[in-house]
Amino acid sequence: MTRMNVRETPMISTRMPLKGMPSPSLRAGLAAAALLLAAIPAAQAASPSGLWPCIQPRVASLAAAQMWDGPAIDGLDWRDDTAVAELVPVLAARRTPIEEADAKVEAFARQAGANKDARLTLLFAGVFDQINSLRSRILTGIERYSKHQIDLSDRIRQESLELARLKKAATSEADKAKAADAEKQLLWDTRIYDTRTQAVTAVCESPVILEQRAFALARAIRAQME
Amino acid sequence: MTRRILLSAGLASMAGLMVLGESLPARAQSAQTSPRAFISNERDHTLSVVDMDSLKVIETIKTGRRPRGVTASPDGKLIYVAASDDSRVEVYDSKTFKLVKTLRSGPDPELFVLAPSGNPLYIANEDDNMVTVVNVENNELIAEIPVGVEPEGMGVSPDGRYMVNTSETTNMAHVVDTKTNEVIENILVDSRPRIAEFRKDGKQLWVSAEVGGTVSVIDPANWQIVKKISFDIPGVNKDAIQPVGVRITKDGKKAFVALGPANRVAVIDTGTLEVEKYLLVGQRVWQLAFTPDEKLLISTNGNSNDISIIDVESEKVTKSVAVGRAPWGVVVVQ
Repeated sequence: MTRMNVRETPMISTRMPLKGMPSPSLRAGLAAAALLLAAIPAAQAASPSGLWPCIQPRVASLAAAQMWDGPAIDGLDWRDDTAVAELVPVLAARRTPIEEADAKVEAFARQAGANKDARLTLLFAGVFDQINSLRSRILTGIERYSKHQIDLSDRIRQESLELARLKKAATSEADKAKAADAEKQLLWDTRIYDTRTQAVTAVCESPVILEQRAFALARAIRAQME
Repeated sequence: MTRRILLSAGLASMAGLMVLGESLPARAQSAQTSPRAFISNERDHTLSVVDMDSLKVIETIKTGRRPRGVTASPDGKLIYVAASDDSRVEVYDSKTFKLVKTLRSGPDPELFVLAPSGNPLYIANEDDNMVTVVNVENNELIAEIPVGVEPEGMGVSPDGRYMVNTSETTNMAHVVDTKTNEVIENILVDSRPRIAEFRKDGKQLWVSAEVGGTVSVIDPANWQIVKKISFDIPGVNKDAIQPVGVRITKDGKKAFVALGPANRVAVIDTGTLEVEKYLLVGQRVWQLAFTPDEKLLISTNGNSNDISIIDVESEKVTKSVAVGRAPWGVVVVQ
């Protein structure tokens, strides 16, 4: 009962000074406008091709400044340092457990010599570069995946129309066998489509996992600097 | 009837205290004198308890589903957790880590604030555009206050006179007179306001806008915006700068603002309202909390699944501590 009574209390009362909220209908309008506005950045974040299937916004590339407050890495040629060039792919590879990567960074720092900070900066430049380009390839892969799903759904639509036509027209045993084959193909394609749709969530997580890895490595490298 | 409920609740809590005092070994009690941080892990449905002296996770408490907002009673004895997907508030003993009771919350509670006296609790209901006011002693519903769409941020003035709620979709801060539980002012701020925080002297109200990328500093004398603080981090895209958590030191001089996927906490001089520094913390930093002595500030980093420890005086990040998945809210008690 209390709940009912309180709910009936009007929010807009003439006794109260109300700024920017003149009437309930206008307020609803404002809310709708706000919703539309909120939708705009999401649309802008979508891929140019319109194929991005993930709820996560599509961020084309990572920004080093989001994970690194050390010296700038622009234009650094990390491949010139042999030890760095050898270590970078090991650190970037997802099969290297992060604890192991941390230990490798620490070992590198111990042997880095007088230019330790500069070499650690190079190491980050390499890791960032590698993970960022791997991530870009994954983004393209996700869009290809999405394109394939769209194509497959078109095919399923065609196949189901064709199946209906075949079933209707089937008079002979041969026709019926043809319809049965078409039905099998349709079921098979639908099954692939469903499995792939279920996998989208996991597929969409992979850029996130890479970003987490880049961040963790950046932190491990930065921690070794003076 | 009401009196009987109150009396029985009082007796029950007294009994609870007595049991607590007897059952805890002396050693455990002394070991628990160091401050403890309680962090809600949204994806694990747990609370991580971190000892703030050793900076180690000493306990992981299983909570209701999707714990988000977390706060403590003024005496630090009780921890309140908004279990959003179970639509209830859970109350834990901060020393034994046991569930003491649950409170009504209205649907989908996200954030809440306790009155400075410790009662009532003001709860934002994200799904039904209400703020629910609950008596924490007897679980009675005091009021439901209609606010804007998707209410989230909750602040209360130090004297308890005003409660402020922000609505994420209406883009407003709604000021409620706590005597009448009615909205007396609506302040339009930037897009998707997330947090409302008063300065301890009650002379400034800070409201962060996640999508707008700004923090509005409001004068509670006339509820006018004094300044909108914006943020600029070289090399970081503007879209990634999403202000959420706001904390201001007790002396009112310094404010800290968590900037979401920019992975930074901004340090702001509350006199000049200028940003002095950006501290790199963890990924997707949302909420902040001081230790009671204000020597340390904790940030919850939702994507790196850890908390960062910031030394308040030197304004440096000293450590990160791994907690559960998607850490969301944080509170620290002595």
